Amino acid sequence: MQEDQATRPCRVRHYVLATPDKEFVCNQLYDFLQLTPTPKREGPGPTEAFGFTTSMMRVGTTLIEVVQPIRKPHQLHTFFEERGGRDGGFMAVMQTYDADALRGRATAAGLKFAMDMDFAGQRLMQFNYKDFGTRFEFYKYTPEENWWGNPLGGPYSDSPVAEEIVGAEVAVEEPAEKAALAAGVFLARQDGASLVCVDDRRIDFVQPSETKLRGLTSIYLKARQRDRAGDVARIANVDFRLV
Amino acid sequence: MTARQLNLSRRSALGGVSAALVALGAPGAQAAPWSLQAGLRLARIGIAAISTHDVADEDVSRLCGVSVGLRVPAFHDREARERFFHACMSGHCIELAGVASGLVASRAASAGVRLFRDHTVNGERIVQLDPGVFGARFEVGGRSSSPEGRAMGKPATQRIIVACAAPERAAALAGVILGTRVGRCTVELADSCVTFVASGSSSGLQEVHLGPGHSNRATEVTIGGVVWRDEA
Repeated sequence: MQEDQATRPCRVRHYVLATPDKEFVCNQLYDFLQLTPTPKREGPGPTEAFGFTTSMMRVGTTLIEVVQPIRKPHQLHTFFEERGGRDGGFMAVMQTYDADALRGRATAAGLKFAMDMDFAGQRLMQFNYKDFGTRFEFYKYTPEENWWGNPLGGPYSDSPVAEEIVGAEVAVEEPAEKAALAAGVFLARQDGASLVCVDDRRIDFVQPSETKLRGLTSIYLKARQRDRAGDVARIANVDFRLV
Repeated sequence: MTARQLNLSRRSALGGVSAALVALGAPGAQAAPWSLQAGLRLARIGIAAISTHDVADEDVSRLCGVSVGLRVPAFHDREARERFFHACMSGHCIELAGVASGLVASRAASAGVRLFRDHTVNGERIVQLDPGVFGARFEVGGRSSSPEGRAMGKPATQRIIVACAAPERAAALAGVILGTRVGRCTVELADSCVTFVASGSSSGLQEVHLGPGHSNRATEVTIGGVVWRDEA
């Protein structure tokens, strides 16, 4: 059983956008995805002690999280400064089933974690964004289906626009090499400059450009109405593409 | 759960009016630094309501000649509907035609104004300006650019009044971004004008003044939280 967990491919669980104005970006997302706004929890949020506030929403089985820093200094401010003050796609969050095995593969590939710690009862490991263009943050959820309180049963509404998040795009130099490295460490399949994870969720690595800053640049959503495939909403400098 | 978009128009509204009308700007009006958009016109007014029952048929019938879209959330939980309405529908939508959405987007970026929507739909770019600045969502692109926005007959709308936090700033920014003539708190369109007023308890589209000849009596009715005033 232990061996099985060690070789289970990692799963994409959610994507994070960072912005100085969370309410504005959340309203943009609610508007585009036609979601009922996620109710606010009573009292301070669980991340406020870490210097940021957060809001979540769900599309299919994947979460979108919007974060806003509430104190300085904070790595989110550094993120904005590196992008000329602009908000953007901050992170892809994935699930590992064996933290030690992931750590072993990362070390063997010469990669170091920017964070490797316990957080809210889960093991958190975050790769340095300089290695893959954006932050890839892994959790060993305990229990396994308790990823962020099992959002499938959480206070989220279903989008009538999109049924699932099926992929993303990350701009980074040497995209094919990065895809190969990530495939080996994350236990995913490489397809050219792309990573194909569990349930065929793909992450395309592409070359950065003037209009496509290094980082998480697009999120692909499976349109419920097929004639909407091809429509795009740019939110927080991330293209939400209906496919 | 979804939001439904209903077209309340009896016929589409607002033909293009000569540029000469635009030149009759309000006293104190100043030309925007960009060339005047002589064809910039009101194409459609979007209103939102919790339910279609909030909008009576007899009221809608009085909007003959005005292109109006009504958006209602199509889910049943009352609390969820109200949350949706307040979070997503705050700020009525005012669709403009006669200016390219890409131009508006680049001017907005230069002016430091965010886009609430920057969507590409069927290959056409649609942008909405930040309602936090302008009180309502001003939209250009997409169907507003289509010939549907033109109709025969008299202009149906003379003036719309929008409440926002800083009317003079909103007018100045709107003039720069839309490339049209502005007064102190007024933006001139080819066939009508937008006047910004200070918001009290709520911002958004407050009043639509319908042109003379639209009705044979001076009356007003409130639909979707907006006062529609016939000026006989």
